[in-house]
Parts: sequence; structure tokens; C-alpha cells
Amino acid sequence: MAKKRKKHTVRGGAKVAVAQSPEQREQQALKALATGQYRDAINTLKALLKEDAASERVAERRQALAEAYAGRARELSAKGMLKEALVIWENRAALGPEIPLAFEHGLLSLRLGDVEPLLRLWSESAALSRDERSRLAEQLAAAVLSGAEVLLERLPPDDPLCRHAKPARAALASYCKADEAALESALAEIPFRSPYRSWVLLLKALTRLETEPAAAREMLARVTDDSPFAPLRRAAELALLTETDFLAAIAKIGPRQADFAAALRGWSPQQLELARALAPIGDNAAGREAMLRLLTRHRDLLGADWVRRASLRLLPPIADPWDRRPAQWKTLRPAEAALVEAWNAESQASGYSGWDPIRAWEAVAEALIAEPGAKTDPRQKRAIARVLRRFDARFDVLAKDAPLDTDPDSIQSIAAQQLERSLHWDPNDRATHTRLITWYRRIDQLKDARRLLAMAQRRWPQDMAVLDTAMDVALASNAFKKAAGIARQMLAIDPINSSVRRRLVNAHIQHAAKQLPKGRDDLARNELADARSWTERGTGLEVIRHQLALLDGLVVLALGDRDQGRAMLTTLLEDQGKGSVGQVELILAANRLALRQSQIAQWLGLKPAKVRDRDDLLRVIERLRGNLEQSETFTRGLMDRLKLLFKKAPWKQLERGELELACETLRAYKLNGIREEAARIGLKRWPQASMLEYHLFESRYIEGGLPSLSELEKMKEALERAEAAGETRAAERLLGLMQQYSPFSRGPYVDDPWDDPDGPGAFADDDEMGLDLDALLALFHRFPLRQVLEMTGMPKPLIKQVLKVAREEGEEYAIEILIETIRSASAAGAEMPPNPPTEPARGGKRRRSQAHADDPDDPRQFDLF
Amino acid sequence: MTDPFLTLGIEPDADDASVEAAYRAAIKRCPPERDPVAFQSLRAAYERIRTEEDRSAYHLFDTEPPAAIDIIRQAATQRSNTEAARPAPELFAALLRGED
Repeated sequence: MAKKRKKHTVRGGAKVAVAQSPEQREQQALKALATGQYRDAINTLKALLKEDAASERVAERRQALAEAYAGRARELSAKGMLKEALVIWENRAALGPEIPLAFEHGLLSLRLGDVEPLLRLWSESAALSRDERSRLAEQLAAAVLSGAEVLLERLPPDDPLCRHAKPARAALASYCKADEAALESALAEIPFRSPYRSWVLLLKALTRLETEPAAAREMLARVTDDSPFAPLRRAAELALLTETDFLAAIAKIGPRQADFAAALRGWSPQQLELARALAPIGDNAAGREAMLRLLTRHRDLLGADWVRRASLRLLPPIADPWDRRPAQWKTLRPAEAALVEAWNAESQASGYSGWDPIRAWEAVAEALIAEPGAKTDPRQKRAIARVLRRFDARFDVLAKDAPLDTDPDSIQSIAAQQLERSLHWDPNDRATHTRLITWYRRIDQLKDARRLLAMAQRRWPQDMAVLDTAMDVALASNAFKKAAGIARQMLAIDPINSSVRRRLVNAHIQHAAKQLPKGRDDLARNELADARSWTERGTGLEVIRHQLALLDGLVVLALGDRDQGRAMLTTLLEDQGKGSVGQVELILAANRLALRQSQIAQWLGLKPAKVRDRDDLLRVIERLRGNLEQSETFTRGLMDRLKLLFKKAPWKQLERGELELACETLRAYKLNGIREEAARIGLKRWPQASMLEYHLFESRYIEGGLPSLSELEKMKEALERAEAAGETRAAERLLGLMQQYSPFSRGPYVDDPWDDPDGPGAFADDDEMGLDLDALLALFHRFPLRQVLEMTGMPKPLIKQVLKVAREEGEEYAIEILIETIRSASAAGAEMPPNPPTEPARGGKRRRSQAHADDPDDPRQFDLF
Repeated sequence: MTDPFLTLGIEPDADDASVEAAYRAAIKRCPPERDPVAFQSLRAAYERIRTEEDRSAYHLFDTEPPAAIDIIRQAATQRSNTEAARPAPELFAALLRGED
């Protein structure tokens, strides 16, 4: 059908053309020629030459027809229709003697086995320019080297093409045999102006590809694009690509080029075949499966061991333990299969979720232990230890600042047990010793901490990290003399270590504070004197020295000679000059000794200071921030004094960065009312400040209450702004805040579902009460199990039950059971009238009704499993 | 990321000395001034498996699937005889005839 339509169009076109004048038709043909419509141009020009043979423009029209033929022949060649192209070239040549034989015609004829056109060209070459003759000679040289023997028979023997052909061929033979001396000698016989000069360049470049790639590249670049040797140059350049680039190029190049470049790179045909098979494989799940099949298919070529190891990383994740494993699983050792399971478990876990990975790594360790050589091969033993350390290393569950969970069944406890076991297999891992010691110290298992410390100190007596940990343990045990001894050891190794001095000073101050309630001002003063002795050397301890002077004064004021104490402190306050920083120092010092702030103020006759100007405010904030490094315990008295201090503080005089820093400081001191005020004032000036928005809402609801819908909307907008502005920290905090207040679609408006007298069933229906099970499921996918359970406000005993099931049966199972239970309860309670939603009191904590304890329907009494 | 063992041309159970020796030999062949890209890849491979702990961590915890280039390199390591890295004369002739 298409063919018929095409013919019809041409005939139609011809009919139209008949109605036009020859000049118009010529213009139309030239236009078609210029726009690459060669077939139309050929038809029109042929018709014109036939019908208007007497025209003065016959010569021009014949020239145009020759151009159209050439264009069409090139089109056909590009499509691989070589014979058809040759016919067109022959039509062109038949136009008459004024149309010279085209070079490409000669080449194509040669390629298809006919040397005559090229020879004809060469015989007529005297009429050509020097440059054209040189190019033609080079074409013939390439033809000779491509196997056109007949050319040599037909050319005069003294023609350079004949004379230099022998060394040119000898050079190729020598190159292919890697006979460098013979190659050099053959190339030396080819003069600089020979038609084979590009051939010489090429062969020289090929010999330098490996040893001098830059020189080779430069030589290859001298073979121009229109040279008949250009295909060889392009193939050789492929050998200079990086392996990755070459792999990418393989899909786009012809098979001969690929063979040539692969041979130059030293690839075997099998490697090239493999590369061709790999080229279309993408980097996705389907691609991985395809690669897995490919590796299995080429097991003999690649080596069975290697294929098995590589396949481990290509096996698809098994989401469900009951899913069928791919056939490759059969070839895996138990330890390898366990390893794949662990990788899968780890990739699907996040943060603290982790019963699946912790169990999976345990299984890997067990499988490795069961392998021969586990008890004797030191490398195998260390591998087992690494596997046992993996979970903590990956999820950082025993980090110094991780929230503590001392439940013996908690993930942290299990991770600590795994670390303990790892020391059995690799007792030389110092980091594991210090990590475990720190963990035991944090959970007050000082006996275990000391046991491990003794082991560590035997192995690494001079190690600073071990000494540091030892000092922490000594201080936690109130063993000050021991801590001082360790500090001396550390300072002997590192004399400018101020942190050691600071920690000792803080410990002495803490000890001094403990003496005051017992009325032992003498002991307190001794402690402070000891503390002072550690501040005599070292840098950056000026603030501590000043605080120690204040502490001395406070001890005298509180338990000794009040007048003397008053004089000491008054002098110190005056030293601080105007402003409220002096009083802040005093307040902080009194806080460290746990003295009553109001009593101190009364004894000193001090009126509560207030921050009045920008400089004063900045200095106070800076001092409060500095104090955070020394003490994190704040008495109510301190908080009250600080609240008075910041009343009507000039927040609006601060710049945005200063205000955000101030809010951070207030957050650390839990001065939430003040922080809310500061953030609110800041937002008036910078309404787009996402971090201030965070401080505003977090401070407003941190002690209880729930944000309104419009406030949640504002938080969402602030989050979007923070994300758009790349304010990662603000975005993360806002996201956390929003999740905290809206774990479900109607979260903020639903009172604690577990407090509902009708149990979870009453809110489990999406339409009735607003707990969206899909949203809950989404949360389970996004956050660790424990975190989601806590977000729901589920009673702790129930959380424990769910976590226990998760440990024993897997998280998926536990979630499934939980959701099913909520659904069933919902169905059972569907006929009950929904409870009116209760508005939580603003600023008050969500309270759990005591009446629930005896309520048989209380969800905390459910035994779900 | 490519397989560091294949990049350096060593066995998966190589020891510290073999890794070091393979790296030194490789950078001698590919010094940074001559081929910075290849040198970077050698350096990265060396850094990944320099110590026994690194190598063990690679075997146990690296989940990166093999890159296509790893597979090609591995095929090369399995060749019993190293053929001459030179194309045959017929390939030269074919390319000169315009057969891509």
C-alpha cells in the first residue's frame, strides 16, 4: 500500500511539474537538491534534460543532476545499500565526460571488487591539483593494504604506490607478530612523502598505545577524518578509553571496530562477547537478575568460586522468609546464605528498628562459628567478631548519647551482649573494650565496666582512649584519687590536655557540693582547693578559675564567716563590671553547689538582675552556653532566677543568627516560656525563619498540649521553606515535631487512643475516630517499630508485648497481628456510638486515667498475643 | 564502585604484603601524571582493602553488586594463556575496506 501511495505522489508531482515552465521546474529541482530531497531533484532534472535538451542551461542542469546523484548515492551507502549506491554512482559517471569520476565512486567500486574506476581516476590524476592527487594516492594505498592486489598489477612498478607497498605490508606483518625490530626496519623504508605515510603513523601509534598513551593519542590525531585510514584511527582510539568508557562504547560501535579495539586492549573474544552481553543490562532489579543469569551462564569462563561470591550481591532481597529462594541459593554455603539474609535485613531496617538485622547477624556469626577452622584460624575468628560487632557499628545503638534502655531484652542490651561475645573471638579490639566500658558505666553496671577496664588496661596500659575511659569509670565510682592518678598518667603523655583537667575539676566541684548539706565546709574547701590545683596549668581554664573563686566565696558565705564570704563575692561581682553577667556567674556557681538562690541573693542583698541591652544579652547567652559544658543539672532556683533575668529581654535587638543561637541555649536550659517569647519576637522580623518557627512550636507544646490545625499547617509551610532553602537541620527538626504531633491523619485531634475507655476498637474505624490504619502502616514502614508504638501512646506493657513478638516471630508478623487486633476490636465496637473527641487541656500533659487500671476493657489489660 | 581485588589484580584472600605489592606494581604501570583516572581508581581500590580488617569488612559488609567491568576483568584473570594484544591483519584490511 505504501509503495502504491508513493508512486501516486510522484506521478501527481510530475503532473503539476508539466504545467510549469522549464525555468520554474529547474528552480524547484535546485531547491530540492539544496534541501537534500535528492530523489525529487533527480526526477525533475532528468525530465528537464530529456524534454528541454536544446536549452542553454543543459550544462548547469547536468552538473546539478550529478550533485543529486552523488547525494543520493551517499544516502544509500549510509544505509548499507552499497550495490544500489554503486548503480547511482554509475548513473552519475554516465552523464558525460564533463562530469569527472567521483572519488567515492572509485572507493565503493573497489569495495565491491571493481578496481577500474580507481585506476581510471589515477590515470587521469595528472589533471588534479597536488593536494587532490596526494589524497587519491593515499586512497589507493589504503586500497592496496585492504587487499586489492590487482591494483599493484595494473600500476607501473616504479610508482610509489607499488614501491612502498612491500615495506608497508611487511610492517603490518611484523606488527601483528609483535616483531618490533622488523617493524621498525620496514617502516624506515617508507619515505616521509609516501602515500603510505598515514599507515606509518598509525603503526607507530599502535606500538605506543600501552607504554606512551599520550604520544599515541597525539600521533593518531594526525590521521585526519577524511583519510582512508581514519576507520583504523577511530578503532585504535577506542583502545585508549578507560575500561568503563569502552564498555559503554561497545553498544554503539560496529563489530569490526570492537574486535580491533578489544584485541588492542588484550581482551579475549570471550571477554568481548561478555561485554556485548553486559552492555544492555541496566542498573535496576531486572538488570541484577539479568546479570545473575549471565554470570551463571558464564560460570566456566569466570570461575565458579568467583561467580558464587559475586552472585551473593545480586540475589534479590527476600521480603518474606517463606518466599522461594532463587536457584543460586543452592550453591551457597550456610554462612553465605546467612550473610545474604543479613544484608537484606539490614537494608530494610532503619535506625533503631532492628530485631531482624540483629538476629540475622547473629545467624551469620553462628554459621561462621560452625565452619571448619573457626576456632583455630585467627582470620576467621576476627571475622566472627566483626560480624558480632556489625549491628552496633551500623546502627550506633550504644553511642555515647543514645537514649538508654536498660531492659535486658532491649536492643541495646542484646547489642552489648553481642559486643561481649565479639571480645571472646577478638580480644584485641580496643574500640570494643572502650565502647562496652562506656556503655556499662552509663547504665551503672560499674562492676562490668571495671572488669573490662582491667582487661583493657592490661593490654593497652598507655593508650589515651583507654585511660580516658578509665577516668570516666573512676569518676563515676567517686574514686577521685584513682581518677587523679589516671589524669596524671594522661597529662604525662599529653601535657596540654585541658579536657582531663576540666573533667577532674568538675568532679571535685561535684564532690564539694555533696559536703555542704553535711555541714562539712572544710571538706568542701579541700575539694575546691584540689580542683584549683588542676587549673594552675593548662589553657582555656580562665572561666573555671573564676568560678572556683566564686565557689570558695559561696562556701564561706553559706557555712563559714558570712561577712567574709559577702566581701569575697562582692569583690568578684564588681570585677565583672556593669551588666548582669556577674550575677549570672554567681547564679551558675550557686547552682553547681546546689545552694538556694534566693537565700544567696538575700545574704548578698542582691536585687534580681535583668538583661537590658544587646551586648549584655549576648554575653549572658555566651556564658550560659559555656556553662553547658560543665554542668547539665539545673535547680529550680536557677531556672527561676534565669526567668527573671530574661524578663523583657531585648530579643529584637539580636540578629537572626544570634537569636537562633539564643533559642538553642534557652532550649538546653528548658526555659521554654522565654524561648517561645524570643522566637515569637524574631518571627515578627523574619516571618520566613523556619528554625524560629520550630522553636516557637516546640517550646509552646513541649510540656503538654497539642497544636491546632492552623499551627500544624504553619509547621508544614515552615518545613517546606526549610527544605527549599536547604536548611537541613531546621527541616529535620520540624519533620520530627510534626510526626510527634500528627502520627495519624487526624492525630492532633485524637486524644490518647489507649486512654479511650472503649479500647482501641472505638478509634480503629477510620471514619469514626480518626486512626488511619493505612497511615499507621506507612509509619511502620518508615520508622522503627518501637518508635511508632511509642508515638501511638500505647501503654508500655503492651509495647513490650509487641516487641517480644517482634523479636520472636519477626517485625512483620508483630505488625500484622497488631493491625488485625485493632481491626477486630474496631469491628466489635463498630455499633457503639463514637465518643465525642476530647480536647486536651492546653499546656497540660496528656493524663492516663487511673480508673482504667480496674477496667476489664482497658487496652493495657489486653493480651493480644 | 568496582571490585578492588580485581582492580589490583589480586586474590580475595591476599594478605597485607600482597595488597601493598600489587598496588605498588600497578601505580608503577599507571603513575598519576600519566593516567590520573586510572591512578585514582587504583588508589581507591587500595584504600578499600589495605588492611585485613578492610578486606574482611569488604567481604562481609559490602553489598555493592559486581560492576560490568569487574566481570570483564574476572574473565581476563581466568585466561590460561595470554594471547598477543594485537589485532589480526584481516581486521586491518576489513576496517580499511570500510567494514565497521
